[in-house]
Amino acid sequence: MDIRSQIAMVFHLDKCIGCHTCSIACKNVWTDRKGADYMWWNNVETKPGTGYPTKWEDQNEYKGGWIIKNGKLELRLTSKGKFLQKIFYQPDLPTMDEYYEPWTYRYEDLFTAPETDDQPTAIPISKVTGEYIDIEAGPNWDDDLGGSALYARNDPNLEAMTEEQRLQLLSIETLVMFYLPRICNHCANPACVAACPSGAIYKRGEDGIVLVNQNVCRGWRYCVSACPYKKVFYNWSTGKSEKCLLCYPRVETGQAPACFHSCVGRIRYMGVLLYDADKIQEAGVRPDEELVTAHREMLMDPFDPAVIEAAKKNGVTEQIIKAAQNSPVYKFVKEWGLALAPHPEFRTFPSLFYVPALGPVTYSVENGVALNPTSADEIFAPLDQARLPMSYLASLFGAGQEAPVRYAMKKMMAIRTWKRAVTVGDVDMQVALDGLREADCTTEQAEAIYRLTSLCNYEDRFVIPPSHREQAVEVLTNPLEKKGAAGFGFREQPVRGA
Amino acid sequence: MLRHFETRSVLKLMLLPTLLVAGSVCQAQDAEAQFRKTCMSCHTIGAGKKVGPDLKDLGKRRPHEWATKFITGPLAMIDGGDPTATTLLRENNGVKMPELGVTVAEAQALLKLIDDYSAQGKTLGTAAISRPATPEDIRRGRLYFTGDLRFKSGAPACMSCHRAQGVGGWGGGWLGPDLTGATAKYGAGLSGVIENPSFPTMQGVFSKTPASAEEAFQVASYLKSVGSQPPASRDVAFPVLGVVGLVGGMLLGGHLGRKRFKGVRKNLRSR
Repeated sequence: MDIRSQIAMVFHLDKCIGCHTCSIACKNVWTDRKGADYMWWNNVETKPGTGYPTKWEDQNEYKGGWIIKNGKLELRLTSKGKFLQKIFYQPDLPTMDEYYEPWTYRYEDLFTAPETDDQPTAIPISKVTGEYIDIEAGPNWDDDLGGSALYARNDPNLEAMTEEQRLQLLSIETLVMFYLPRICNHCANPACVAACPSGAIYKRGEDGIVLVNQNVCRGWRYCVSACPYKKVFYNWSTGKSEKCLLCYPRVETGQAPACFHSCVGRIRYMGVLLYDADKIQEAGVRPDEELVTAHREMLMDPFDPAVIEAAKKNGVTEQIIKAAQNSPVYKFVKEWGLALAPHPEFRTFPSLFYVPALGPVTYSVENGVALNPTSADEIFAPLDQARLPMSYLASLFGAGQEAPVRYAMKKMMAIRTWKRAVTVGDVDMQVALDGLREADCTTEQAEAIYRLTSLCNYEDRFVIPPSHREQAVEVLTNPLEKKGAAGFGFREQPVRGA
Repeated sequence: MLRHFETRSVLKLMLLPTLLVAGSVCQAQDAEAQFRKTCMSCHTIGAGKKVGPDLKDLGKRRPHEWATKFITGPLAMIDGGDPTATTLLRENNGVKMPELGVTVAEAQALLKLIDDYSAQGKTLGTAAISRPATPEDIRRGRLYFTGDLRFKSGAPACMSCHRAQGVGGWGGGWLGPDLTGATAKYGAGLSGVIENPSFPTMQGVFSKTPASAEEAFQVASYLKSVGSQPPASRDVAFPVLGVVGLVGGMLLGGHLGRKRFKGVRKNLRSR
């Protein structure tokens, strides 16, 4: 057993209102720079839709993630032999067109334009070339199903549905949507780290955050291609790759990352997971239908004495173990089985899990009209009549398997029905309790899920252990070295006569 | 103020001899490079006769003024009936020294170089090989020309740029002139021209990898043996082969890379 600690995340999609506040918080803090303008370390996508960069989920195009070859995991992008061949011209890189060309407007024209009969206009100019551009795409061009005839229709997950389902989904008035906020998944088996020829990307030992060392990065951009979630970006100004760093300066000081902190719907949870790194290789080669289970088996019970002992042997501190025991992520993922990793078939084992959206999905339609629940006992239509077929969600969260998605959806529906019986009282209590039992849920668990979903405060959502950076620093330098020094002054020693 | 000025003048004066010594070393090197470039095809210093006479002890044989005048404008002197020049022309089988565009200053530097080398007993250049060419020489010369035999220095084969009669079906490169009739133009000097070419294009290629005297003699012998034949045919097969190779290579590259990323967003609409 090789127990490591991983700072992990849950996004509760039922609560996401698609306001993009997270994206803006991240942009303001990290990527409002030349060369990084086009990057959105955090972005919010509308599903069905093609996302950012366009169709990132389609690995036939982008060649990201892992595949099984001869019973072993191998990068889909390249093999050890092939990668040197292509290192100077890597043929699988997304172009700027797949992201979008960043632009601004020439605002000074509004003041300097000569007097004419017409209002002056601030024309759009590219932030790359400074020339006029005809804007054709943006980072969320398909937001709220904009251009759905083009973008929603090309969602790679639609391939899992039958032709009939697809037609029904895409016809007007029956089209349904939900939001999918995305950041770097800080995977347990990151393809970007494996692909880097310079060894510039690394997964931090203490909390599993995946970072790019800007001093070592040589801009080969294999990480950009290898990441199946397309969350490593190339800065064309510095010539280095950059990615979400989970606001580690904030995490180290006990604060939630900027996108988590600013989330209006409070959809984001952060906590520690203890996982067994010895199991990654074995779990990685399991068939698609076992991937969700294999991933959950990797996550270990933080109360198990054997796990605690093994964790301590690996230098995981008491506080981190305690944080793991209180982790909202562990509850959502392992205890309750509600949260699922995006596209587990990429086999990177993401540390970001999603609770699938219930609301827009389960209200059923008949003859193009959304159905209201007919009886008070059944406030939801059955899953098989869901507006968004389970096969779609299974493609997004279950590696094509409907069972884990259905389990989570059923449980959430049962809890809402039960809660309605408790607080409103227009549902028969026995029906509600039967529903809970069918959904593999006790009343205690239902109450706990309800509280962590609806009444969660800052401390409930973010259980961030102390990082002990002061101890980590001692490994590299002696903190007492500067004791008694002035505390300010020269970064480099002055040299006489220089 | 005055003191300061004086100090600086003295410093300058002290610097002067250093500069002079450095300057003369520089000049000597320049002159040697110039000699290799302009003169060595036909002359040596102390290594014997080549196309033109051995220049050892030139300063003792002729006054400097005459030599300078001759180097800067040989044809004017030969055609103008200068008695010494006429005698020299007869002695050297009627091969006229060409106009080389050497300036007076360069000529004087060259003469100084010749005097220095003569005084020190150093030699520069190699004498011409005067034995008659054997069939073996001609055979080897042809192999050097086609590249079947490599020059010892690693220099590229003549055929890369030149054509000549008798090297095979496709004749050779089109970059340089046809060399079938080269003997008629250079006569006995051809071997020296090959050894120390005075053409800027060839100097770029051969200055670091010159052919040896023996190799040059054999190539020249080969060219002499085909000198009476008509020029090589300008066969189009050689450039056609090049174009076909390029197009074929590009098609192959395109096929091997057919699975490369070709863009996603722009292609959405056309589907």
